[in-house]
Amino acid sequence: MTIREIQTHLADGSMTARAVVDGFLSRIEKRDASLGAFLETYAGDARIRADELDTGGADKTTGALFGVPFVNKDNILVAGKVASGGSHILENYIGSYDATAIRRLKEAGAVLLGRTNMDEFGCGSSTESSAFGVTKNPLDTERVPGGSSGGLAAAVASQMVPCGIGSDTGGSIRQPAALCGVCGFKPTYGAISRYGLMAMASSLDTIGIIAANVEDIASVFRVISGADPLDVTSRTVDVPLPELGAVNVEGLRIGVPKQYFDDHLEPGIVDSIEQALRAYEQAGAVRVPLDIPILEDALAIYYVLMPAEVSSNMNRYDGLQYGSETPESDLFAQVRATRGAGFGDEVKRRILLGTFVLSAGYVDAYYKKAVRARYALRRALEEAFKDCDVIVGPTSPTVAWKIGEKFDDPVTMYLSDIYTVVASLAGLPAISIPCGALNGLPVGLQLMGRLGEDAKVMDAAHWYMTQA
Amino acid sequence: MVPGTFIHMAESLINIEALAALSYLEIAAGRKDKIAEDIGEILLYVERIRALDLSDEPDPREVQTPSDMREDIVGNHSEVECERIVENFPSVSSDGLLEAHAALGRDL
Repeated sequence: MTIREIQTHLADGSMTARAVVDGFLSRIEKRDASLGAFLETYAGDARIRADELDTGGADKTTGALFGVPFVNKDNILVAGKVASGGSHILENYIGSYDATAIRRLKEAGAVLLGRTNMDEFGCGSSTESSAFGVTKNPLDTERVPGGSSGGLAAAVASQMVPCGIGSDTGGSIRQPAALCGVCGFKPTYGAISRYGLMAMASSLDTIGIIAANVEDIASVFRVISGADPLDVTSRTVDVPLPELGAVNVEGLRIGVPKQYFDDHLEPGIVDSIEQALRAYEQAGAVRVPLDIPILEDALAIYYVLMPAEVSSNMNRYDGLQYGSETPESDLFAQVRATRGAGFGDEVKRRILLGTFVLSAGYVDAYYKKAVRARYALRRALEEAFKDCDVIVGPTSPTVAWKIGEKFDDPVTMYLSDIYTVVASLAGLPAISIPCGALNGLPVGLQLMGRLGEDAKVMDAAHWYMTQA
Repeated sequence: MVPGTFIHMAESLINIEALAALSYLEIAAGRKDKIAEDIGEILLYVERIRALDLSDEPDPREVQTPSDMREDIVGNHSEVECERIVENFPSVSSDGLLEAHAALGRDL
């Protein structure tokens, strides 16, 4: 059931909030044993909340998401609930407060069903780097769901929940959405408060949304976006909200960078993207060929800046500020042992890499160069957007791959993010929507917009989902 | 050559133990070779940014960020929130102080 279907049933009295929640919990019980999307469900709390909504005399029109179940990625805090970030080091950590996005969803009447699996602290593209096991793709359980929000994408794709929120630092919402055949949206940087989100790479981190369709994503975005005094990076000017009425794409200028159709793209995916572009053109949109050479360097820029910020943000997990300690005779030995035992290999790789690019002798050649290159990338995109309204291309260079296929080859794994990191580096809104299949596995179409034009991106994506 | 595990780069060798020490990170002996090899490959990939000509780019410190950053302000938090934070701390003394291992007297 979609959010709209749930709301229709609740409004006409054909279902209660409790019945909706019971229905989804029952589906989780049946399906999740074979998928491993959830780390924990809150069945008791969810049923109590649903009963409150049903019997509390609340006006069913006051909460924008009244009775709508949702889930959160394991790196977003919920008061009184474990928030592990997919890591052993935080497996007993209890959230002290509700993240702003969680609080706004609860206040809108949404019901939290549980927390979903993820790559440790968001470091991964397949959800194989979770300390708590691999999540499987519901469309083929021998394949990965993508990552790092693989648990969330798998939960939505298998209809265990209509929607959920998670972090997107370099594509962690959009890429798993593409691999699981659902929609994933990353907002303009700062459009959704990050208060209560565990920091991975602070200049890139956003909270995004996964749902079955764009309409549901827009419903959640309207509730959780907006300025928040508790997040210093929250935009003080709210971005316009999507209305998704009768969207018309006639005259829409669609930029298509030639760099998005490079050697990294799996043959066959091009056909699905081309088909989508032709659908837009037939409806009156205009294709604008783009040549943005620096896009070829985006992944390299990202894999210097992101680990640098990861190495800094992970410093707090020392067994003293945060994390379960591994006792040793002296303080620094204890910190080293705690971090050595608590972090998995991928997090360790990124900490070491970040330490390296920030170290004296290398900081100019790597980190400072990457900072400058990031601004060059932003300026190149600003130039491109003078001639087009959205930039379109594939979300992922491949469809879902076999579990274990890329796990021991970090560079190949990192290439999964090659098309998504661009919007992250520039702080731009972007969405992935399904646009066909290759060998029975879904292909994702990514639409990226100007800063603050989240609504335009959703409008263009909604048109494809409903009218193409 | 100094004994240890090294990341092989185009121009130099990086000692993984030194990097781990800087990172306050214990790396199991059995994982050092693989992690050093992986980081070497990642650095080989990101090496391409060193060749970018960015001489026309402005100093990043003079460029406005996409977010309208405000001043950082300390807010008021509820008592329950503070209690939950303390509950997560590894050790609390009987008089309510948060306890940590001694920083003095460590081996350097």
